[in-house]
Amino acid sequence: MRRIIINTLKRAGFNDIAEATDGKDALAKMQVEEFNFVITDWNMPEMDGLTFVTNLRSNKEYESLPVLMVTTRSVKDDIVEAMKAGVNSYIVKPFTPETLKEKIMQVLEAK
Amino acid sequence: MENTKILVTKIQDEIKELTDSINDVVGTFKKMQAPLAESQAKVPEATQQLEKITEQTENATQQVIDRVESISNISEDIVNEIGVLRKALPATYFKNRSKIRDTIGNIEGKAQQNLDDAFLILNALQFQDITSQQIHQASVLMEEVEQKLQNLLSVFDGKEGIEKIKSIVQDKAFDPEANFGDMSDTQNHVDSLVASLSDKDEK
Repeated sequence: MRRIIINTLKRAGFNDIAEATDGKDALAKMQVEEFNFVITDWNMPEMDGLTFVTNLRSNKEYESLPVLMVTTRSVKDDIVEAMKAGVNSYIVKPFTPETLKEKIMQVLEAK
Repeated sequence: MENTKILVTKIQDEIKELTDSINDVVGTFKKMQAPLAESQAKVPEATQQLEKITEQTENATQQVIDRVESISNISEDIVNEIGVLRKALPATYFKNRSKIRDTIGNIEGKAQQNLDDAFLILNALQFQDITSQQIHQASVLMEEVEQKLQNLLSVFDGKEGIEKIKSIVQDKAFDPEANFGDMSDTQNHVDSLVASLSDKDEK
């Protein structure tokens, strides 16, 4: 899924991309690199997307960093939980490239 | 006295009947024990088989992505090379030689078509992420059946407590409700929900 998202992002014109295997890995990468947008899945090994976003938001530095969640979960309670954790926008898998691009633009414009 | 004798005989008959019934039930349980144990032994094999399918489709999908990326890169190179060619040749060259101009245009169009098709293939491969989650859920259900059989066999064997089976999917991260299909309606529903939640936050 990561490779599909990366290819979709590149085709949409986003070329400066870093990837992480899970939330833990992402947090570690964010300590050494600066990012201006995050796309995360919900279901990940080690640290899931929800815990990752919660951790992210607990850091003042990343309070307003745009976060987009891409997941198969579409139950209302899950979406509410994700929004509460600090997710800005939410995409249900399988998604179309247009949806991904549209959501990224929406989040960036709202920033 | 006579009545008491009759009553005792009746009670003895009842007890014998009850004992026979219990022996029948125990016999039936004993007969069931072997096929249950056999079924329980087969479940891990089935679960492992399911997980193997996931692993193999994941590897195959990675290989398809490798090839699709390669096709995309080659097609992009062709489009770029044609751009270089257009710049290198004088404009009059294309004006006066419509056959060459059309051929170059066709090559460019076909390379672009390859790029678009490769991209569509890549997106269709999202199915693997979702089917693997569905297979993990099937494995979880299989392991639940295995655990229940294990509990039943423990009762037959007169064992105390519950022996936990060794799970091969408990550490996997997946959505048990994962579904593959046209999600446009679901996405619209999610968008409305996200918008309403965002409005609440702003207020």
